[in-house]
Amino acid sequence: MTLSTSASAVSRASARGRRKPRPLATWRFPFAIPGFVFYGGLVLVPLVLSFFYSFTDRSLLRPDASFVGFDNYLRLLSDPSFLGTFGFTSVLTVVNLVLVNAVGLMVAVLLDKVGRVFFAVRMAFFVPVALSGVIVAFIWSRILTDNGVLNSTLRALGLGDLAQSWLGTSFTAQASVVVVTAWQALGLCIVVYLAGLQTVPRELLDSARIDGCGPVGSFANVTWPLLAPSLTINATLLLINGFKTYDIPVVMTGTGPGGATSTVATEVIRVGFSLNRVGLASAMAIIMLAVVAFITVVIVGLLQRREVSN
Amino acid sequence: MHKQVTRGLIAFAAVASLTLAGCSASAPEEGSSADDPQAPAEITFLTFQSPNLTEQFWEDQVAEIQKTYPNLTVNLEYTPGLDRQDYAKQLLATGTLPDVIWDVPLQDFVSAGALLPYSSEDLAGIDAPEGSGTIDGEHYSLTVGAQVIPLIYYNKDEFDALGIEEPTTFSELKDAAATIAAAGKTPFLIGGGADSWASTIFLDGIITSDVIAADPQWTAARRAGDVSFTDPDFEAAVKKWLDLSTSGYFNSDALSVDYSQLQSKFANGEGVMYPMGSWAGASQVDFNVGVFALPSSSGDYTLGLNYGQALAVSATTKFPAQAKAFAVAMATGQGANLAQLKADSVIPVAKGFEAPTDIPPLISKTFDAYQTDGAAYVEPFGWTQGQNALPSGFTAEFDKGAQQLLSGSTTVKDFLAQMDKTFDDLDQG
Repeated sequence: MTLSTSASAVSRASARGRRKPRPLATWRFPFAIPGFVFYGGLVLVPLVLSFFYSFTDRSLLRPDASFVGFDNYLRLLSDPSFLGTFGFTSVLTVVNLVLVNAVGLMVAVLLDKVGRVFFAVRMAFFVPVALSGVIVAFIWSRILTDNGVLNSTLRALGLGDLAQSWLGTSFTAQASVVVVTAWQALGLCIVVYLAGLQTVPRELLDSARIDGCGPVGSFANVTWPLLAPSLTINATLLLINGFKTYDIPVVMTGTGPGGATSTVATEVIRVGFSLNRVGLASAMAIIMLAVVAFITVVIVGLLQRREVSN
Repeated sequence: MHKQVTRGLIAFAAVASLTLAGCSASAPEEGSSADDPQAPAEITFLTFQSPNLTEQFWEDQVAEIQKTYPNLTVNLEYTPGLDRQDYAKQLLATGTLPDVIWDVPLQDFVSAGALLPYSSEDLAGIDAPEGSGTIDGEHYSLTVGAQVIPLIYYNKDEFDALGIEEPTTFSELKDAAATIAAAGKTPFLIGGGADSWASTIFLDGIITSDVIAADPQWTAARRAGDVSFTDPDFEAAVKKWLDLSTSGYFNSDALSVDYSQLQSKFANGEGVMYPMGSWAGASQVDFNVGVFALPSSSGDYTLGLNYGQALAVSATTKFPAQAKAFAVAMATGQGANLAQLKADSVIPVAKGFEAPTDIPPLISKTFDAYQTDGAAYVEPFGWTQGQNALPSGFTAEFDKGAQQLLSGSTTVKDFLAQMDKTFDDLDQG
């Protein structure tokens, strides 16, 4: 190969790199219109309308509405009932975030093997994700009643002292909703971590082993840092899912007893459609959106910074 | 450039035509008439399913009516759960209210102009109290019958074994409960879970018997500020109910079993007395069941009659005559009435209806309890319709507070004070 040939090749490559962008093919735009229409009509417009309604006393059944400024927001922030609901939703979200991530990672590491048994177990963990939340809640409501499967099993095992009315008291009902929500979210979390684990290069693990790292050292120094993108995805999904929890408390406990398992999402529906107060319900929804958006931005920012540093 | 613009226009036209093809509506059928109930029409009927009223039941009802109106096509829609009213509101808010709706929050819907009033001809076959379904002099709700809220169904075999007679006063009812509890059995079954009304139907009965009986216009009086929830009579009624709970007379899982589970518990013999609406008369059980009206402290009987099992017609229906004809047929037809009676123990109020002699024994006993000697009839607390209705969403708040009472997280005084506040707040609309 001569020098000139080499230079020519470099020049061609350089020219390819600096190639002018092709002019925008305007004929393609109309095909995006249905997408824009659906997204605008089903997401953007309702979002803007909700924001607007949150500053009004709009009713579900009356077309007229008056501007009330920040009254709806001030009312919610001083309403012990709403604050209690918001508190439970926050606890549910945080517990899910920590519990599901921890258990999901542990299970994913244990199942990151080849073989029919592992495949079958992975499938078993994923089944709840494929089920509707309504079905999950219905099944668990039958398991958790006083004469349900859980208490019967405890009694059969001689642990009758642990049997109790899981859905009948505020604390146990709240704990039950949190656990069932986490149980359903676990499968997806495991799958995301398994996908992350399969991208960890074997050579790095081999190098770590040659350098004297044990299984824990390899995990801490190689696997865990490389799982950072999976953690970001899981954290974001769990955060959003936690705050918008609706179906499980509605079906499993009817948000009871005495409203103990109400979440912000169930309250939005109750206030909007049962009390007819669309303005107030919109303010709840906007508060939920703002909190989720803020926490997501902060957490994703922190986790992505960790990804870059890794 | 010109070529690109032309291509763009062609592509836009193609996409637009595809989109419009998907959205095009079918033209109304020729010859259809809004005034002729026999003219061809396609209507949607929103109703609900319960352990008594199954999908098959409704399909049979529609098929029966179609014998009279062969050109009528009826699309059945069901609410996602037992709660009909909130779901109907969601459909109203989204502009998709069906033509005929079973059980709507009447006051809300009328104030939103969402319903068509019935004419005097439509109502001619109904023998219900003047006020039921009426707002501002217009009748918007066509009842298919009355339900007693509640009656006390009981395991007669257990009563006999324990030597208990049917109580005729509230004091005797408590004594019976004490005897049952002493025998290690659960005196009363109440529910909760996803059906919070099942927690309070017994309480509603006590309030009806002790408070509403003395002032059938109690809600109007509360609205005017003449009475309050914290009044001694109301407080005493709530305490009576709570006292049964603190005495251990309710099932321990009361707050965690929904209505269908509650029904199963009674059928499985897990409790002796079952305070429930008269639809429990359609229960299928393997033991002898008796039923009596809830007695007051004095021994007087005041039965709360709910006429809310009723049909409303949407103001936006394209087929008002056919929709009303369908509703009238369902409310007054002998076959329809008999089916409601047998399936859900609804007490027909259609003029001229005669119950056959072969109705199931428990339904027959329910009829007898409904006709208890000397009983007075009022609208039951928490189940009022029309002008006597509680504010929108109040009943759910009441149920929630009552559940807190049962779980011990509030006191009677705090609960009632909160109810006064909630009533005033929600009554503002």
